[in-house]
Amino acid sequence: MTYLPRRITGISRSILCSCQCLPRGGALLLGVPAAYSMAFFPGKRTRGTLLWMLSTRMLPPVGVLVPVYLIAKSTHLLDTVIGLAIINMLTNLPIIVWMLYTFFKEVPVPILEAGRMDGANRWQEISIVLLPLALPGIASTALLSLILCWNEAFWSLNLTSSNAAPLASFIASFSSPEGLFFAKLSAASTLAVAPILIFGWFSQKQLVRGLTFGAVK
Amino acid sequence: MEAVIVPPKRVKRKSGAGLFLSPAVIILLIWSLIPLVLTLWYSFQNYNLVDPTLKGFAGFSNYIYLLTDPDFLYSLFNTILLVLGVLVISVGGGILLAILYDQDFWGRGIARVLVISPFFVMPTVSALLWKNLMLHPIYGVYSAFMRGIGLQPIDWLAHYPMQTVMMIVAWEWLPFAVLILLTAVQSLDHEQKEAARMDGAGPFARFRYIILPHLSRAITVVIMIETIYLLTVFAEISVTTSGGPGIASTNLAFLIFSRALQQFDIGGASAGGVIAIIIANIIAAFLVRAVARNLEA
Repeated sequence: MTYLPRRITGISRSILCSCQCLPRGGALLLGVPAAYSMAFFPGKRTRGTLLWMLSTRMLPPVGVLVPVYLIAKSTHLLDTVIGLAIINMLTNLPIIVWMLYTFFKEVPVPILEAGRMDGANRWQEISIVLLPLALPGIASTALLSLILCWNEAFWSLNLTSSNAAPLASFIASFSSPEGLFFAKLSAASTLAVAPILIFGWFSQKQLVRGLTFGAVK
Repeated sequence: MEAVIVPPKRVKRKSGAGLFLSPAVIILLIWSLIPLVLTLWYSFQNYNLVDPTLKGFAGFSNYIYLLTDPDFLYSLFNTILLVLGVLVISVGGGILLAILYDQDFWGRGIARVLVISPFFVMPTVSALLWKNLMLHPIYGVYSAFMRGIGLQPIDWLAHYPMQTVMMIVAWEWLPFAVLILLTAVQSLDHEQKEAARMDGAGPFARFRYIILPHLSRAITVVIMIETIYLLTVFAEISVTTSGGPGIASTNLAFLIFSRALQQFDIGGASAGGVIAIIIANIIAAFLVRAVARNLEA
């Protein structure tokens, strides 16, 4: 009967870590201003900055596994929800900035300028004019990062063991003969897959754009 | 009097804009540079958690040890095999399925949703379901089927570990290819196909000279994105075979993992990490260039 509590905490952690009040909120908080500044005030270095952000995403996680593990260990973030949430936020930030950038690009500049003429300051311009206009884009950005975080397995498997294991690691524990309890395995798998499957079906179009960094629309 | 209408200049408020960008850039800089530098540093050190007496600068010995280690070469071979195998299956199958799903047929909406679904399944779940529910030599669906028709089921994961892992990974990535390629196929102007048909182009000629060139860019993107992810396949191997039997299904990612967190050889694992980064960067350079071209258009 130790199974049930373990499962429930696994799910709540997945929701914490992947549904991410933390990673998603943090990444959007950082990503919206960055995308705003690059989309509407492009400078000489904007293109380079965007491509550099993209390239950080290309870094194979296994290449930096050792230092990240050791840093997490020495800062006591190993096997904690916060630690995993930070990693998820960082790995998703480039994709979030990219997607927001492509969506912001489609907002007509005159509307923002009209707002400025009416005396909106920078903060009002973003929160009252830009964000409502780009809301569908922001929603699908959040959705994509949710899907990526939920299914993220590499860091979950390596940085968490018992205290902060999200669903991905919990499911992986079935690779022992415990996995032959087909009913339990199926129940856990269904719970792990269903929410994301539904989100994925609804956001196919935006996903293509997000996954290819806007190269295929 | 001539009224000269001067278009309002775009107000430049650069100073503020840079401020908005900097938090994201600084955090990403920290995230990408510090681990990278540390990996490089460790890779030149004698650093083993099991043997604390072994310390100090190691020069290239970690690299030399790694590059002359048959395990490393074998895992590199496995990595390349996995990447190429999955690419061939997913891109080849993806093109065929994308064209198939571009046709009108009854129930296309549902079929389309189903065909892309495996991509959304958590990798650990799909690996586990394949291992235990489908391919288990005693209880699996596959073995029940084989026994049903009177044949001896094969223990796939024990006898063909790499091929089986490849199949599982391909099952996950084929839907991705279909998703991207189908979107690309559907953006093709139907009148163009119609015109070619009027001019007497057969189905094969239409595919070869109209659809394939139109898809070329999407195919490039699919190949590059898949390559980047496939180079570091980890969860599927960890769940199904743990790199075994022996090292039969160990790829580069799993080798580094086991060096670092199972054998505690931080120096050696870091050297492997540096090599993985170099390989990925070569491919990423091409991908970034392809995306950059799109940025200008």
